[in-house]
Amino acid sequence: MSALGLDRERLTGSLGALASSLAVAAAALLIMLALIAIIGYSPTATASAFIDGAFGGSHQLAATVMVMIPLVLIGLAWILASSARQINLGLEGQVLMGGLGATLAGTNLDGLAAAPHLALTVIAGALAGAIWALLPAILYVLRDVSVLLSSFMLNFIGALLIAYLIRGPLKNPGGLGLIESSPIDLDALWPKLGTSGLRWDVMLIPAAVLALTVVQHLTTVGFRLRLISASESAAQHMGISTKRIAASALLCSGALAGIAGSSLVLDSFTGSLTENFASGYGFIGIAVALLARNSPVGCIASALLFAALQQGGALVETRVGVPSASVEVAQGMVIILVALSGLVLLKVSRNRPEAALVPEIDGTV
Amino acid sequence: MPDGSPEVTQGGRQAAPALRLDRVSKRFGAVVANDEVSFAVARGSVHALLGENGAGKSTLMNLVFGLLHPDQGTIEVGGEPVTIAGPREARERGIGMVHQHFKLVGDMTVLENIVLSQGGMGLVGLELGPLRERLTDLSSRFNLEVDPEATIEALSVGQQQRVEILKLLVGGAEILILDEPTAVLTPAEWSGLAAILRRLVAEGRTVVFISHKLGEIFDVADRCTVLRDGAVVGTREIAGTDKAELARLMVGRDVALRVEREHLPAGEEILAVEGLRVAAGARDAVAEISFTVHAGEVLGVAGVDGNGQAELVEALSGNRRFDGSVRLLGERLAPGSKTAHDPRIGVIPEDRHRDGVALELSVADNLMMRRFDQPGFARFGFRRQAAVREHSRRLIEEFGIRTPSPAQPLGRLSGGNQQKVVLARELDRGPRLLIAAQPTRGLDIGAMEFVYGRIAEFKRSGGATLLISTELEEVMSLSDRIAVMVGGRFVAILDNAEATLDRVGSLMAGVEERAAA
Repeated sequence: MSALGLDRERLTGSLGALASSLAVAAAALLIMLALIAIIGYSPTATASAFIDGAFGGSHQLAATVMVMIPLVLIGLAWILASSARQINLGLEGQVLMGGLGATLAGTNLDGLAAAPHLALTVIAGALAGAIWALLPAILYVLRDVSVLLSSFMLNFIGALLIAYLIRGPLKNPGGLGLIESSPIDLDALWPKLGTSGLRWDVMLIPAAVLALTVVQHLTTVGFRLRLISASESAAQHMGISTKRIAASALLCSGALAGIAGSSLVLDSFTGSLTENFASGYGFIGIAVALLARNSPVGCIASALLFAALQQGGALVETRVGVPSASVEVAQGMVIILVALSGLVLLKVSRNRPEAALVPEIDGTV
Repeated sequence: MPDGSPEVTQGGRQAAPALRLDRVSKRFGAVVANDEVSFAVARGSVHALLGENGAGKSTLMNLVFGLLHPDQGTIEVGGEPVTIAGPREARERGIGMVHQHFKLVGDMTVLENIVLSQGGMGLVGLELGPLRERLTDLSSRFNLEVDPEATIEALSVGQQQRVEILKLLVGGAEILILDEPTAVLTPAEWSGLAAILRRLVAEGRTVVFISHKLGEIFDVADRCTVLRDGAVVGTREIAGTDKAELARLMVGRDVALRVEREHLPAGEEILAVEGLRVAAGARDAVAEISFTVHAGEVLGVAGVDGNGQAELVEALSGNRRFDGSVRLLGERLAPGSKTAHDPRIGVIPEDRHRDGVALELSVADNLMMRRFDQPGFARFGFRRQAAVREHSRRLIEEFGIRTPSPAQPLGRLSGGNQQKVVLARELDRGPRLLIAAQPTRGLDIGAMEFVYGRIAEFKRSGGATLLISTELEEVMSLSDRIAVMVGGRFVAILDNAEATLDRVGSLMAGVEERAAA
């Protein structure tokens, strides 16, 4: 316990955060169901379709967990950047580039054994994601350009770049008129995980969560990050180069998003790079981190919710007829409610005895 | 001209105190912050609220200003019992407050801040003209000179305070509460403020003046209520009391805060500064300063806040670029180099909350900030938790830091204990040079004693200290030599023996004013 720097105070704090996140998730689902009832569908039928779609069988469950992989990785990427006070809105673009990097390595490195080919494919994805975060990082370090804006703008460039590549240089020559790249070599795919329908990349979830948790709590890097998020000015006065750390955090954040992108391509139905393979994951991942209140472990639960919404939504549409856009309503609700609950928590803590106002019984005289 | 009689009846109405508290109590959990506090503030007077940090003064005034709500007791404004729901209602009742930590928007101008404070802005455009006139009128009338177009960030702390006071004046406050207003002022600025306060009460406004400094209370107050441990221990007419009595009431025993300055033979040269210049925008905040500090010596820098002291400290502590030569033990420091990591320099920053500590991190983390990645405390990038814990325990004990546990967030500690954490951390690395900027700002007497003691001990152990303070008495009593800083220059460096309050004071006031250009 204490090795991770946990104490009772922090524990009650995180329990409170957990409770409020659960309340937010429940409220968002209820509001969504209420809206569905209002527009005239049966909420119970909708709810059961949802549950069937997300968890109804091993097939559905596997599909839901598959969606969790990129969501968790992107959530962690957001947490990493924001722990260095950077708002990485470019995750979507970094995911796209990760997919592109993985595609390039996965389709071009013929003659390699399976394991190194897969490793190189994933590393290429990470590198490509990091490269897409490099420009915002450089602009920030040299010219104080807002990372929020520069990284966000690169999303569009990334999307258009891929749209061009899969119609041009990377176009699948054997494709049946589909707009996609050549399929990735089979030996560059993650091996199957038994008969579960999943692949081994599902292990990226616990591995990445564990790694980030260890970095945050046990390492000097984590200490620097904590110091920077607590007080940037104090960190600078301690001789810590906050910009260098912010830049490194951005690159690592981009790399994580890139790995998420590589998994999206490798696990995709066609096994190739397609136009919309990232379909907004770069932003849903942010919501995952927000709902998890920047806790890496919390990202797993939070990603499960969003993945279930995604998967369940599809069945709701076919079975009950409710447009799957209702899922987006629920996602939006989560974000609004997380923001609101932040305000509520602030208010509560204001009404509680505040440190500055409590007289210290200081008998040092 | 009507005769005086109607005025007299009105005068009788006015005899009700401007502000009266009747058995007001406030608890935070088990802690009693205010215990049945009662006193009355007469209209048109300066009423001082005296007490050590933590005696409950600020809590009390936050109750009056509506930031907190009393658990019991009544508050009367102008003889009328009121419930003050929040600052807005307080303002409507003519109560204004200058907080210890200013409530200003840093990147807006003085004028814009004052517009903000008045509320009621139109939807389109701002009527700045009349307000600007009103502002210049008020500031010249009360000698509160500030440039209405200057951005807050560009102002010194002292100037920012003037803006806060102007905000209240423009808002037409009848009762002005000033929470520790002099913490940031020089003697000259203080006498200016004192004159302003006298002027205000002469006009029938009422001032509540929170302080833990006896001197200023005798300068300006008519009456004084003393708080200790949240309860009133007495209210005195200033004319009928003396400092000794108030001090005894305040701390509950006799105090003698005299620093015995030891004179030590000057040792080796630790710091040698030649032709130091620090740019701030287009001008030089520090212009051509040269001095030395030797082992076993304290060099004090006296001066009005905002004359380049902050920039001097930032340059010497490695947080700002500079021109000129700075040698530490004969070794030249590169301009803007990260001397902050040089274990031979310890720094107590002026703005403790911003630069010196991280309030949400634990006491242990704050103690380890300088050394967390050193070999004993980290291996292969992993922190050695046991060593860290052991070391912070030792520092907590050695420096008598009062905290329930090393894991306590620093923000929960008193200001004095926070400063102890800074001192412990900075002295822990065994520095040869200690740069102490405003080391006792906002501290109570007990914590001040502690800081003075540590500086004296550091000096005895052969350390060189550069003490920068706007508390003139502090500089005079601790320093072996005193440099007076005006307009970015040292206008004089005096031996303690030849430095009198008058002489240093008049140098600070700028006998050689030309330097400012």
